[in-house]
Amino acid sequence: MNDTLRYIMTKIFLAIPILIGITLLAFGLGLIARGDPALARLTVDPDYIPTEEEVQALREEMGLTDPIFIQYGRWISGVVKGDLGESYLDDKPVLSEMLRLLPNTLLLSFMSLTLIVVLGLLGGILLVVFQDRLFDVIGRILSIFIMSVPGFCLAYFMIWVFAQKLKLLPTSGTEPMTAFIMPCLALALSSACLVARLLRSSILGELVQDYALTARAKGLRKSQLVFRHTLRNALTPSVTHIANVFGGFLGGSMITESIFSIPGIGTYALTAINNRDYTAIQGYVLFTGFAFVLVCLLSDLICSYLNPQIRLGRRV
Amino acid sequence: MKKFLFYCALTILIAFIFIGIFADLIAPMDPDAINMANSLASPSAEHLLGTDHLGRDLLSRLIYGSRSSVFIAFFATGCTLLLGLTIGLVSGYFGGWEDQLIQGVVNIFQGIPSTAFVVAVLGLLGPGIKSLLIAIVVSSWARFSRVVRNQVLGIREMHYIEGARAMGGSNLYIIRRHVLPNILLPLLVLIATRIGSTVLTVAAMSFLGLGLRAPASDWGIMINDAKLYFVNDFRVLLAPATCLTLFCLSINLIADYLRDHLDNDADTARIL
Repeated sequence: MNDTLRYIMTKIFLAIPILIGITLLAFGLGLIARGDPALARLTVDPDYIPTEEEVQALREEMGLTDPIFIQYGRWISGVVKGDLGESYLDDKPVLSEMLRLLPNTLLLSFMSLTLIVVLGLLGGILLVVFQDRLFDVIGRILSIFIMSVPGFCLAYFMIWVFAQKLKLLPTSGTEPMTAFIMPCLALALSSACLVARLLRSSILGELVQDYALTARAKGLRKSQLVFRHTLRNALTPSVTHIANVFGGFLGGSMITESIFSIPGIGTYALTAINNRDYTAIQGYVLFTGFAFVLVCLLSDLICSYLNPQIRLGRRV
Repeated sequence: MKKFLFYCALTILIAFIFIGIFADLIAPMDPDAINMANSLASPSAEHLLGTDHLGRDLLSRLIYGSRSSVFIAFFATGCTLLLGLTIGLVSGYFGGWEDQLIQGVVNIFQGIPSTAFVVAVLGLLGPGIKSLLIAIVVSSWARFSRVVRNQVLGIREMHYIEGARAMGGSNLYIIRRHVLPNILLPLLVLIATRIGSTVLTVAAMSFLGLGLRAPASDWGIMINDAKLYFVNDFRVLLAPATCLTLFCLSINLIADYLRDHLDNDADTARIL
């Protein structure tokens, strides 16, 4: 237990510099991009031309003449309190706008995650059980083909088939719930195939280990060997990969959300980039970065639970 | 079977590269020639794949599209490789505090999701192909340098390196003649997967209007153009989508084959 605790502490400790790096990236982005806010504020009224002294006075009042690390400190304390600034576009607070859009992104992410886990694990195990038989060969070729279809091509293809020809599913929006089926498939299918292939190769890697040979010598059937002995060890790379993908989903998928007109974090970022809305981009970078790091941390902990060798410091 | 697929994939990839290089000679028409009277025409002897919504020849646009897609992908991967290779070599070969420092930076860069990077860079520099290239390089060099470093760490301890040093070889000489040739082969897998994902990123960003801008001929832009018209005429969407899929498929098959045959490194294997 002590080792476990130490492992968790180390992982959390290692995540801190990465989180700081993300805040620096976001802050630097705002710093370089924003121009001179004091001048911008004084020239809101086009008829009024401010003198150099006025601009300088406002700069000092806004704290723009302070050293950069003090500005950073002030910004970060705002961020901790949940103040990400206001959007240039409509003056709405960035954080509350993102929180308003978050449920759609969350729903899409979790549905896709479920699909990836179910399809990926099932596919991977089936490919191993039917190794080198027809199912395996066809499955591998099919999965590499699906992996190669870009998500947005798949999305349009599905719209054409299911919405235009068969008229089964709505093409866009968030209502009713069936509207989430196509975006979810577009996001998840290629990752699910990748996970299945990954799992297949890692189970096969475990099956040639000595302990698997012993189990086989004892007379276990292949399915028993896979489920009881090797699966748990072989899951680690798949879990890491799924976490990477899921961390990306949480940041909103700009393409899928824009194709299916789902108002989420991704479309928010897309609008922000197109309008050069720096505060919003800053908030978005910060949000996605943090979500990603936390998901990765979680996946490290899951891996250490699955394979205690990891938390005991042995390289697997 | 695998070998056969590999050679097929290689042929397709080389074909794409050749079509890209000789686009001027192969393309039957000017990809930007607009002819509104003949818009969304079905395939005919004159236009082998028909025309798009502005009456531009679809086949010619596809051919010019392979030029932009393939070359941006190779160029971006080349830049990433150069940066990652240099940093990884320095970090792994010389070791010491430089190595620690570089690994710290690599850790941070690997911890930040690539979408956040791409968005940050595009937001900062504005949409466009140059900022897209920078975004791709910035968000993916860390992985290269990590893999290179791990390879170099193993090679550094080999006896032949010691021998070369005993014979008075300079560091540069040893790196060039002994270290580089030994890490390039394992790196091939990573390079192949990177080219594939770069093509996808570029197409996706062009599709969103953040990379290449219309009227340029690019598969991503063609798909974006097609999104208003594919309902009536699926051909305008199918053509660029097929090219994109075929390209990614060939890259995936090549990477798969290479991985089976060359690669024993757990870190690279984890990518796919």
